[in-house]
This record gives sequence, structure tokens and C-alpha cells, in this order.
Amino acid sequence: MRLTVNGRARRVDAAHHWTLLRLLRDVLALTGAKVGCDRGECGACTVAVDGQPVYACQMLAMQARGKEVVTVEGLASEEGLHPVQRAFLEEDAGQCGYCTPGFVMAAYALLLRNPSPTEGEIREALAGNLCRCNAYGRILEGVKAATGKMDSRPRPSRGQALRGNDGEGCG
Amino acid sequence: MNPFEFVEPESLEEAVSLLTKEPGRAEVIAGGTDLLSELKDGLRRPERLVSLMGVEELGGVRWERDRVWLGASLTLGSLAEDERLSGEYPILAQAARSIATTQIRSVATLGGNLCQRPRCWYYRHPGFPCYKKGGVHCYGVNGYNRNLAILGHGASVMVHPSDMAPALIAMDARLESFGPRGRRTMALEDFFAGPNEQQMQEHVLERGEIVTGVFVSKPPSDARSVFLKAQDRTGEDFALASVAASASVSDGAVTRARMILGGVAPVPYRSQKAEEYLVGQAVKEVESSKAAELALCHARPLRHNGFKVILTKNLVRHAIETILKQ
Repeated sequence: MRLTVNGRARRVDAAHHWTLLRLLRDVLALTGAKVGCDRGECGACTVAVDGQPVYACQMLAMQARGKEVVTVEGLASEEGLHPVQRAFLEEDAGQCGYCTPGFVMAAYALLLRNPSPTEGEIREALAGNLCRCNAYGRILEGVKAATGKMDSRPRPSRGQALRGNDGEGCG
Repeated sequence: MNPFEFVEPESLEEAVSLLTKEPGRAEVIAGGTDLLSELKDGLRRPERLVSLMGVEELGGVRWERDRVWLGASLTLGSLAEDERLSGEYPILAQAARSIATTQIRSVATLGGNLCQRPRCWYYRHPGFPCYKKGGVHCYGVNGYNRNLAILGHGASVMVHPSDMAPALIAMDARLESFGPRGRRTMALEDFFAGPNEQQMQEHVLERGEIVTGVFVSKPPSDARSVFLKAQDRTGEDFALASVAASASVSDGAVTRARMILGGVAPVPYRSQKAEEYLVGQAVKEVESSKAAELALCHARPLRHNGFKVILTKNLVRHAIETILKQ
């Protein structure tokens, strides 16, 4: 199957019953999306598919055929961290870090379609992500700090080369 | 997950033929957010999944002169965010927006929401061969039944989990389907089947028949509506109870009323007693608590869910007060 991952067109072999999460982690070696509940409840596996936040554990890889997937590995560029990542660091928006990539991706997808969300909109957009360290207050501050900073940083477009662990040797 | 073949036909005819060719071996998948949980737990073991997402005609919103057609593969997220729909049918956007989480709404579809399987923990647990999985017992009757039915139970005390269904029924929506015998439409209210009518599904679709969309007539200019939902936690959780209410008012009196309860019975529950009470009443004389008592007059709570009766009555009261103030 073909899909675009973090701006790069890929051709991969995937069994029909694999989830997108399994494809990303086990074939493309993109381990930023985490296995948490594996039930579409905790949000640790959140990635963006065609700009929409989805649970990679609750979607078949085949359902992402021909689509554009962005994982947390696709956010940073040669110029450094993505504004959402920088804001999370500056606001200390996390604790153990396991849920962080999912929260970053949920925030990224929110800011893509709504660059200046209200606090209520941020809370609603992050309601599908759980943090067992209970760092929600800091995470909220992190997203607020990233608000309005994403306009000049469009998501990676098709064919754009990105540095990072992008799983070589898979087509 | 057990291996299966994933196929994505481009036409409805092809999808139906793939589903009917090998009865029992093929299943429909749209967004898949509900089905994947069942597949992971081995509750179903299809050999082939027939995806509907490649069938173009199932997508989108079509505005007609006096009604709107909502495609079955429309995602709940796009339903919640469609500006024209939010303006003309606010109750539908309210219901869509209340469902699950942003991530689920990006993928889950309208058709899938109407065809969801029970959320009952005995149904979802692979260790319980419950009635809805083809077994003999409903473990909810004597088991832990906090979230289960308070109304209309039969051979199972499951509750229907859909939030879109009550909201759409309150708007007199019609469901459109396509199957081996062609296309048909029915009142959405008639689409749902309780456990005594259907054991292994919660609707009246025939084998190989697919939901293609929903028609909703343009509401009269004097119509008002609201969708309310009670959950343990506001993000993510399924409804403990929901209420979709709509009414028309002219010359200070209620001329039409719909009162649909979700999450409390095996099918979306239409409370005709409450509707009859409301119709003909002067708005100023409506006693919302009386309507709430009538709406729940047939309630038979189980051992652990008596609180749902009170909760639902409060939702009904609140819904009536909200729409009569609009």
C-alpha cells in the first residue's frame, strides 16, 4: 500500500488486519505514537491523518491508504522543534512523558484547524487524551502557549524531506 | 486480531454483492472505531471486511428544497462542524459534538453510529456468552447493571448507545438503505429492533443491506429542539441517559412534540405519553416535572440503576424548560 508519512511518500507491505499504529511502530520504526490502552480511549497513539487527529490503534493501516499521516516525528524540522513542541517544553507540559506525543499531536491537529482556540475548545480537543501523572494543568498551559504560533509553520507537504528517524528500508 | 481480507469496493452494488456472496463471513466496515474493539476481543471473526469508505455516493451532505440528506459515511466530526447544518438543525450538531472524543469523531461515521453494538460490559467481555452474542442468558439482569436499561427491556437489558439516533428521531428523520432487494427508506424510529425481535443485531437490516444515508425534513419555522446527555465524565463516556426533545409552538401553545430518550432502553425510546401531555398545552401551563413523570412512567429499574430514572427525569425536565424558553 501507499501512503505519505511525515511528508514522504512510502510504499509499505501491511497485513490487512494491522492497525495503523502497528504499521507506524513496527514497520516504519516511528515509535513516537505510543501503545497505551489499544482501545481508542487513552490518546497515547494520536497521529494526524489528512490533518485530522485519530487514534492510530483504532484504525486499520488499510484505512490510511493514500492518506497523509503526520506523527510526532514529523513535527520538528531542520529549523528546530515545532512551536507546539517548544511550548510544551517551555511550559513543562508533562511529567513522565508517555502521553506527551499524543497530547502534542492532538494539540497540533487542533491548531491546524483552529489557530486561536478558546480554553474551552482546547479542553474539548484534548478530552480524548489521558495523562496518568495528572499534568493536565501544565498541558493546558502548553497548548495555550502554542496558540497563534502555528500559522507560519504549515504541516509538511508531500515530498518534503524531513530529518529524523523515519524508518529506512521500507520502500 | 484474527487475520482478514480488507476490500474497498467503489460502488454500492459491488459492496452488497461482496456481503451477500459469503453469508456470515463478510462484515461491513466504515470508520471501524466500534468494530475494531470487537475484532480485537474476538467477539467477531469475519474473514473479509468490506469497507464502505470507497463508495463515493455514501459521503457528504446534500441540500434539497425541503430536506437535507446526510450520507452514511459522513464523519461525526464533519457533522458537528458543518456550519449550515449547525444553523438549520442545531440538535444534530449538539448530538454529534457530544459523542466520544475528537479522535473518534474524525473517523466514526453517521451510519456506524446508528449501527453500533451494545456497550454492555458482559457483551464486550469475551468470557460471557451473552444473549446478544447468541447465548441464552442476559448477564445484565442479575449482574452489575448500573449502566443498563431502565425501560423496555426484553430478553436483554442492553441499552442502545447511539446519540445521533434520538436527535434524528426527534427530527422525524428517515433512514435510507440499499440491499439485495434494492433501495428503501423507513422512519428511523422503525429501523431499531429490540432484543425480542433481533438477537444478534439492533436493527432491521437484512443480510447484505447497507445504511446509505438519512433524510431530515426542514423543520417548521416555529420549531425548537435540544439534545441533552448525562455522562459519568463529559469527555469520552457513553450516555448514562440522553434526551432529544423538539416542539413547535404557535399562539402560545404546543402544537407538536417529540421526546426521545437514549441510553435507557434497548432501542431509542420514544415517550408518547410525554408527547401527548405536551401537545395542546399552553406554554405557560406546561409542568415540566409532570412531563418527566409521564416520560418515565413505565420505568422498571434494575438493582443498580435506579439513579438513572431520576437522572433521566431531570434531563427531560431540563429539556422541556430549555425548548419552551427558546
